Amino acid sequence: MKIITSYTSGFKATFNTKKLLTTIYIITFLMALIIAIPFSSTIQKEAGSSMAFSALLKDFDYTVYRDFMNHSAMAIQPYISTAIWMGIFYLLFTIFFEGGILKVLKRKEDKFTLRFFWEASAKYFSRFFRLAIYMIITQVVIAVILFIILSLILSSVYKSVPNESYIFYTALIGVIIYLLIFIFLLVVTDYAKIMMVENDEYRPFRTILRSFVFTFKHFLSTYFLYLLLLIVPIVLFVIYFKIESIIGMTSGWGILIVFIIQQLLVWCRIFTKIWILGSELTLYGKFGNKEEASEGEPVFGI
Amino acid sequence: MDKSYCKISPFFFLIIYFSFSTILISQTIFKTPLSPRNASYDMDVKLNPDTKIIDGFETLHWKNLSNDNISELRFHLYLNAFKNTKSTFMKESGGQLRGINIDENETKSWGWVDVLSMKVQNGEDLTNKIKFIHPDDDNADDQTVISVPLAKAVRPGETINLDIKFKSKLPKIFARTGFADDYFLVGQWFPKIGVYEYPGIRYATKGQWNCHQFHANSEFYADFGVYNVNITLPRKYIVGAVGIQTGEKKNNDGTKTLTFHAEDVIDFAWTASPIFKTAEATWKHVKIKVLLQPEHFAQAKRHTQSAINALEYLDKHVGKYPYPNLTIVDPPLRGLGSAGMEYPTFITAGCLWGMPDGIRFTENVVIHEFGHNYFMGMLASNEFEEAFLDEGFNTYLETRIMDHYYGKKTSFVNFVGYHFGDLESQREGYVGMNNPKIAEDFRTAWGYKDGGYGAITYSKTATWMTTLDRLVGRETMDVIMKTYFNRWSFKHPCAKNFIDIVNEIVKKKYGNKFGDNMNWFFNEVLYGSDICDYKLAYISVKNVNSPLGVYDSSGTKLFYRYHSTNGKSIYHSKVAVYRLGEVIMPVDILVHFDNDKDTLVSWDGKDRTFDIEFDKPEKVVWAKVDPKQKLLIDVNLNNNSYTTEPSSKYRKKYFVKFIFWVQNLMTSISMIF
Repeated sequence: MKIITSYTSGFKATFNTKKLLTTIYIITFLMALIIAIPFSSTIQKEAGSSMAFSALLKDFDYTVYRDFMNHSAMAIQPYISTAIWMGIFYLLFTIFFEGGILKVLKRKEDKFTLRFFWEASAKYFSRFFRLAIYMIITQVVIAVILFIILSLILSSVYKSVPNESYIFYTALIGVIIYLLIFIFLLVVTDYAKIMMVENDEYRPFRTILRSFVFTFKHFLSTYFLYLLLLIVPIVLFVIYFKIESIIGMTSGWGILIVFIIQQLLVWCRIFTKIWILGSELTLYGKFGNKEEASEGEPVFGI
Repeated sequence: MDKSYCKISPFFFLIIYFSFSTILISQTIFKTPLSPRNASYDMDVKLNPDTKIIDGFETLHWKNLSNDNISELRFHLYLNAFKNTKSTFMKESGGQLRGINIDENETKSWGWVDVLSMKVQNGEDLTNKIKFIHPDDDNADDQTVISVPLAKAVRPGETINLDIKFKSKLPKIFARTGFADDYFLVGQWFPKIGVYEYPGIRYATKGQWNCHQFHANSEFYADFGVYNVNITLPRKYIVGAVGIQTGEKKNNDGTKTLTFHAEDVIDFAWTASPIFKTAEATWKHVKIKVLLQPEHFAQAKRHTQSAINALEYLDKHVGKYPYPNLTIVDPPLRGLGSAGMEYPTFITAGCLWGMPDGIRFTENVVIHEFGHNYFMGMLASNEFEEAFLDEGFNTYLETRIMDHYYGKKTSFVNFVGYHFGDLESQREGYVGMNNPKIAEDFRTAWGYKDGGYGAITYSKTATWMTTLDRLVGRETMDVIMKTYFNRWSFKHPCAKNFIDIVNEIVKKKYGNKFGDNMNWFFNEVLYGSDICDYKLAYISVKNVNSPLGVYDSSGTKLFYRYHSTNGKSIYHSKVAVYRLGEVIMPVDILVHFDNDKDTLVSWDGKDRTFDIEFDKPEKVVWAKVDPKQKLLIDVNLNNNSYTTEPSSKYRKKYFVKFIFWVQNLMTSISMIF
């Protein structure tokens, strides 16, 4: 029941942050545009006045694509690497504005102002940055450990089993376990952020430990709430691909309609991100209040 | 009645048994030999699945077809390529083939073959006269070729019969042969005589042995013969082999002996595994048997149907497959090093559990390997020296078969919206090389010093064969392929033989349209390594309402400031074509005007630039060089066209997609916090 009420309450809270959503969406769009405009110019320059590329309008054409890449990959490559760097920059940006989002969600009854958002973001940036470093390192270490374990298991399975279906299922189980742990760490990260804002915590490592204990203690609620929210963008993507294949991007109108749907999808992804935090904030409020009594007790002997 | 039956029954069954055995053993496949059958083998071999050793005895019947007295014989001992790291094969390959590495630290990984004795029947013992030779390099450690001097020369037309006792240790599956657990693919495993080439065969001007060492890139070359092979192994094994099975006998020691018989073939290979599951199909006179891994049984139809497609297509466009059967082996995962290999009437495919139908790897391998039955098997070209005649020609037909049955743009992969055809894939294999000029096609398989064997031999050949196909037309190309097959099957043709046929057929069909002959084509694509790239450089259109300026007329000067041609403008349109590559090919240019009419202009393609100019009331809107994409060998087809009214829709589409992709990349990365 707590999951459902948190889920709906998070949705309502997110819905009331339209200005915030729009701000983040515009920033995302502008950042993508920064690379996309020169990318488009490069495509135009490389393709010149050739008619071959019209084949790409109706469908994917391997020969046109490969000939293009064989002769223009050097021109395209910088945009790919720039996009990846942009992603990393966007991660920094996310770290920055998550404090603001949580603050806005927390005082949802007040009127939203951008100034309040930026101030809150700035206030928590340093703490969230350290928290992000710890959690990213944890993610990487766990990923490496799991990769090594899975490689050893797969190597052993390869040597001992008669057919590849066992290898496939072993790898699949390994990937699922990794994803479950990955999601668990995301949940821990989220509650660590919430605790930092709710309790004005300054020490990320200590907060992570507390968040770990909290998440583990309320595993079913915290984990399944996150999974429930994670389903939203997955479902939206499935719907998007279906719609795109129906509409097609073969005419000016088709391109425009798909573009609008794409941007709606991006907007929904941002919405979901805030929705997750909003729901978790509510859930934390429900559990957190009960734990107020035990506050001050030593955690792991600290 | 009953009593009398009891009395005669043992005798009766004995008669039936021996009659049947005799029928089976003496069964012939072809009433008239298809080949010279000058290298035939009778073999008795026993496999020990524990030690992976084959104890073998072979009687070789070798006939001297030349006019020479031959006092030396040469044999391949291919398995010695896997004996140690000093073999030529291992040195060239670095211990890996097709991405699979030999496990150097494991004793059982290595393979070898020893000739224990060699005797002329009723004649001299040659055992102590055997010596290793290295006709291709100075590698004294290579033991893949032996020379055996004869005290008494084999005279022209004479047949020498040799009894050879040998022992073969199979390697852990590597480079097409060996074992993986209790799966065996036994190939290149017995002492095999080389080819004595004499005037009339390929380029020989005098008689000489053509018996090359086993190289990393090279495959094989052998004479035709009849094989009678008895294979003894534990009863639990299911066996497939070249030829047809003619007998099976259960022995008292828990083994069984299977007899195989093959005619007019150049090699003998076999497979054994206790877990094969068998699927069968029939196409006309050909019985197809697939020996599958149990977990792949659901994909049996993919194997049989693609084999039927290949049989049907090659029968129609190249020639008849004369053999009565085809065996397809599906190797296990740990035996994938033996996948994708060809022997006469016997091929290895390759598939993976759960492989989606849209990824047609299995179909591709079956079709490709089956095609070898024509080029490696019946035409039996020299794969050491002219690998393109087998691999390249076969790949060309593979692309035709794949594209015909599975669609030009979908034949290789058609999965979750991503698709491409086999011909597209092969062309990309060549034009997508870092250095497409790395080597010319016409060179020995081991002559590719810095890589490129696969891309040039398979992909480039398939691409230029398709180019030839499109230049002369499919109908003519089919006549060429049929003539080549009918004239040269079972005779070891060379490139020159093929070129002669092309020249003959094209001349007959087109006269001098392509010049005196087609040698220019082969000089470019086969003997040369340059690239082909024609570019439609630009189109310029000017309004030229001439005459303008000052003109002398009857002693007076007339000044024309503006002159209208009945109110219609005249446009000077110029279409410029560049030849960027060194390869020269005749090429057409299609010019389209704004009144929707087209003009086709032919160009010999020789000059560096070619301008086409028009003074017409219509403007040129677009032009295409090689509009039908005949020159598939052109390394950049995207620059073959030019339009004065370029569409921006595709750019908008990818602009929009790129924005979406970057946004999702950013939001996905940000998910980790």
